[in-house]
Amino acid sequence: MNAVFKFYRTHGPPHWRWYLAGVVTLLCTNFLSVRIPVYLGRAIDVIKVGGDNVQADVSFYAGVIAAMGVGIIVVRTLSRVAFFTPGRLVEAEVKRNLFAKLLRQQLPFHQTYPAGDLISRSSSDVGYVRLLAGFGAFGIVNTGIALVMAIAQMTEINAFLAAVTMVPVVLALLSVRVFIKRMFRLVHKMQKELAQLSDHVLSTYQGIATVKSFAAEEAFAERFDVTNRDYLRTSEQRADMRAIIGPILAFAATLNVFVLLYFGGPMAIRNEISVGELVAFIALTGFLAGPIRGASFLLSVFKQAEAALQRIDEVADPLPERPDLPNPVAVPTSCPELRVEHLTFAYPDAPDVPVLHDIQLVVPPGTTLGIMGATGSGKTTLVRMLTRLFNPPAGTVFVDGIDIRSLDLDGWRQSLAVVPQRAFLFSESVRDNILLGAPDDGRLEQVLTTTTMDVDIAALPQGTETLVGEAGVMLSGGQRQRTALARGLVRDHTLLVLDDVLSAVDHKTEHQLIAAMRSGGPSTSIIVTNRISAIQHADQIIMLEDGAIVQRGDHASLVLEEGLYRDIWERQSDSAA
Amino acid sequence: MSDNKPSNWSLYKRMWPYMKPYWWMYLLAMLCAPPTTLLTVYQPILLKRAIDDHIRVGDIAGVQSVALWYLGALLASFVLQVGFSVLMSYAALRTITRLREGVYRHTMALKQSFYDVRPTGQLLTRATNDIESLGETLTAGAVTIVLDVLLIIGILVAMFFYEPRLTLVLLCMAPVIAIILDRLRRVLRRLYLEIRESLSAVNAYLAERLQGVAVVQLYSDEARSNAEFTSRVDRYRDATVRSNIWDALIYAIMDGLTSVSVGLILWAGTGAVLAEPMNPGVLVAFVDFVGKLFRPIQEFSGKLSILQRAASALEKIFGLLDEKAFIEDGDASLATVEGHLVLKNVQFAYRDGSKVLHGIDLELHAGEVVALVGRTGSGKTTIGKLLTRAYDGYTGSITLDGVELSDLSKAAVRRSIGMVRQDVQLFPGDVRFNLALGADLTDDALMAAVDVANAGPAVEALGGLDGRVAHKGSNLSVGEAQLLSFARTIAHNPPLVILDEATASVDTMTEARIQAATDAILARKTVLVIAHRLSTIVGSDRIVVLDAGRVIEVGSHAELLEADGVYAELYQQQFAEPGEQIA
Repeated sequence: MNAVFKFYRTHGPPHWRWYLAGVVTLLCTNFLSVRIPVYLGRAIDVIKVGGDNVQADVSFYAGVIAAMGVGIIVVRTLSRVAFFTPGRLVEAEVKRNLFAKLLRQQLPFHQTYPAGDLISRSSSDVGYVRLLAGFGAFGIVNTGIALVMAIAQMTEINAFLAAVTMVPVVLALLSVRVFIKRMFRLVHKMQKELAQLSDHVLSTYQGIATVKSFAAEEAFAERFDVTNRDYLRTSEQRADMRAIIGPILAFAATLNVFVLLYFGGPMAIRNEISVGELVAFIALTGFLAGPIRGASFLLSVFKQAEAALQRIDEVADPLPERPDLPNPVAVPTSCPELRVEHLTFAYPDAPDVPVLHDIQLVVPPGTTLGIMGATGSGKTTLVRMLTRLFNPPAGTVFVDGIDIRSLDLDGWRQSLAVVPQRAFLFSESVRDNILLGAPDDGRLEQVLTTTTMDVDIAALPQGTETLVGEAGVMLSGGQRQRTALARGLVRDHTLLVLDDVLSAVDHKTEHQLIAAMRSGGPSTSIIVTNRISAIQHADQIIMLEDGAIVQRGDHASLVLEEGLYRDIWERQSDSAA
Repeated sequence: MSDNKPSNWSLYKRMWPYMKPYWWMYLLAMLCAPPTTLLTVYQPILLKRAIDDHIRVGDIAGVQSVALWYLGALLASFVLQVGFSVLMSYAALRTITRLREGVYRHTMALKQSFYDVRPTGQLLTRATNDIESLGETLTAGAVTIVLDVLLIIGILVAMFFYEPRLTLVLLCMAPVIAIILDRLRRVLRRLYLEIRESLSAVNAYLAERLQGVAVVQLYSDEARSNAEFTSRVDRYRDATVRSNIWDALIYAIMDGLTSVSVGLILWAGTGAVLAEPMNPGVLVAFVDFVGKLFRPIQEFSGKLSILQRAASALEKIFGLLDEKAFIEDGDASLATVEGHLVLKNVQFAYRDGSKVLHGIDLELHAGEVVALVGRTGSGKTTIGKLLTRAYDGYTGSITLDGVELSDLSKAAVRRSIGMVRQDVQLFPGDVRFNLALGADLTDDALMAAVDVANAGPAVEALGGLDGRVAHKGSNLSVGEAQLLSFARTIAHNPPLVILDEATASVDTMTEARIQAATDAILARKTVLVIAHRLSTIVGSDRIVVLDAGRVIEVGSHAELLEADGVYAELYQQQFAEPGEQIA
């Protein structure tokens, strides 16, 4: 429960006014609630005794009870508002803070926690935060006050009966705990099985073309059935638990009446208590039934909330891996010179396997570097180091002679135009997707022309204002790729990085795009590719193999040299001869 | 709530086929309802008897025997409640399990073009979340409403039986309560809608920004993202804070009115309405009745809104089930397939009306390798899709061994024509399943295919046929996935293969393996290549050049170079520079 305490310590104090108001109004509510049975009992006694003033006396009590009822409406509303509002406020705070933190986290973090995982943490787990801050706080205070007040009131009437009536309540709560525990385990299992089921369904839909072309519908349906049935079985087991827990609590809450009749009835006959007091007792135990039922639910909320808090903290606590030095150096405004010195790098999850090995490299300002190499040769990692999507080790990567790690990160990123291999579009207009917060200084039009997106956009219903992405028009793979390219070119950049962008377009478009890039403003460029045609004009080409540079030079020199580059070049051209 | 009740009712009615197999469970559960109601109504009556008949006359044995009856009633009601709950949840869970299966099977049968226009995430939501939310409804909502109604009726009958006039006085409050609650709920309904919309706006934004977090960071879009997210969260927060007030008010009104009614009973029951004061026992029973009456009324509205939510989930689910975008299959079959394929004046337009094929003529003799060449958008991919029957609605004729493709049964088409796709689709499961995809193939046959496809090392690295393939094949490299896809097609052994060559960049080693696997297929089958690789094009029997949905050139590599047309131009463009170096 440590996580829960910590939560209240952090998020409770800022909203103390709400909570204080809640406690005060709950005291009023419960006070009124336990006094009503007492007045009811007095009225019954007046009736039982009889006499001339019965009607006047009972009417007085009736009036008092009705007035208290109206009072309850007021204070109960206020108490719930006072407790549940901070719940909502805290929920919003936590959601906002978490989102901002997640956006600051670097690539390694996002590789460990895929988007789907983070989404469920920021929505359903944060839901428990709301429950804790609102319903949980309300529940504890309300149950506590109700129990103390009701027991005090019962004890004042008759201590013996008060003790006897509490026995079944305690027993029921204890026995229910066992079932609740088991239910948690089952809920957990169900979540896992449901995830498995979703995974299967999603993979079917994503691979539907293959399912169909192999007529494998039946085989997939059978696999689905197996998971579906497992899930059913667990659901039924959980239903068993629910079917027992509810009635047990209801049973315990009404068992009091039996106890009161069996022990209290004879007492009333022997005049040890009055009939009115017995009735008040019955009404008081009825009042307690609510908080008791709530208590078991409360228990389950705390239990689940604890797990949820841990899951949130797990992603909210780690400091983003962006060691901005206290006085970051301003980023140079001209085309940078990139220098790599003895760069050896291994990912944190496999520290013994260096992905890059003693890389030495100088990219003079305004020149183009081509990077080639097989999958897993370290191309992508090298690009990540050069763009600082991953922090390189200190003293290995320099921008105009300054260690890249001491550059102001936001400033550095603003000087980049990185076009990743996979184009990601947001559900926004084409325009917003390309500008991404950058000012439109009239360059949008120009960029659309160079990427030949202008023709595609003319065909869209609202031009550049057309909504794209999942919620809007689905663009084709090539259109997405060119949109991403436009995104890069529209910004003021001094370093352009194309990470295997050109493989998705045909050769004609490729030539067009390369020409467009070269005609753009001055920038240092890095092109990662497997196509020789995309980099044969580069000033410098490096060939990576197993994390090391095995060849370097320009196209003309590399084709004359025996080695991997020439092999690939021959493979890509030789079969023509 | 009555705005669209009829349509809701028709939605619930459509659930019947899924409920039918479990009718006896529903029936037994319903049979538990009347006795449960009776027992609940019986409890205040016992209380009245204990006070009026025994305590007032000093009968200790009598009051204790009533107490034991009370205990008996509690136990019986406990048993009935457990029974009801178990039966009802089992029946409901099985019903939705069946519905989930129905939705899954139905969607799988829908044609490719249906999938083209829908995000898979949305389909997934239908098949899982929407059905999941139904489960709670069927167990918690729809059926317990029946119980509540029974209980309300039972209590009112008992009250009328004891004191009809007092009951009428109490009932006078009903319209007042109803009007107040209705007003409040109207406000709440609007707020709930706002909450749902604002929440889904929050979640959608969150999901996209996280998926595209690299883009956000690379383009320093954090500030704009945070501002937008905050404004969406604030909208959600404001709606929920406002709804809290009305929620609390409804809850408190029901609570407070119980006490007001108690006051009313006391006042009316002791002379104000009745001439003679009521017996204290009857008064106590009335107080108890009122308490029991208010709870189902209080919960009723909550359950109605759950039903409303269920109706909207059902609407979406049945909307999907009503989707009838199937490919109409014929029933002809082919005894043995030669693989003689003829396309005559084939024309085709996609759903949006864009015409991609303008009369294609093409013939493939058994054993031939024909390469389709053309720029992006020339229609070569579409031909492949038509041949695998992913799309329907072509005009002209496509015949396989003389039989029109659309007359063939689905099974016959799938047996005769195999396709190696460019985007390899792998599924979570073992290697065996990914290769066989449910077909009856022995491990030996699968391993033989793996060998032919050069996928041996990849399969071995996964741990053999039992090795696990992750979702989307994410534990394999692009090239390895390609090889598995080759193995899959080879194992299924279709006489005619459509080979959509991959353009994705892979390393040289894998590239060589893929080339060898391609050669293996070309040597064994009748193959139509949607070509990107020079070696495949050059080595094919014939090259068909497409442009804007028309065949513009046909011939061998040498012939077409000689003709110096579009093919020669394409060829020059693609390989010009390195070629010059050679020369």
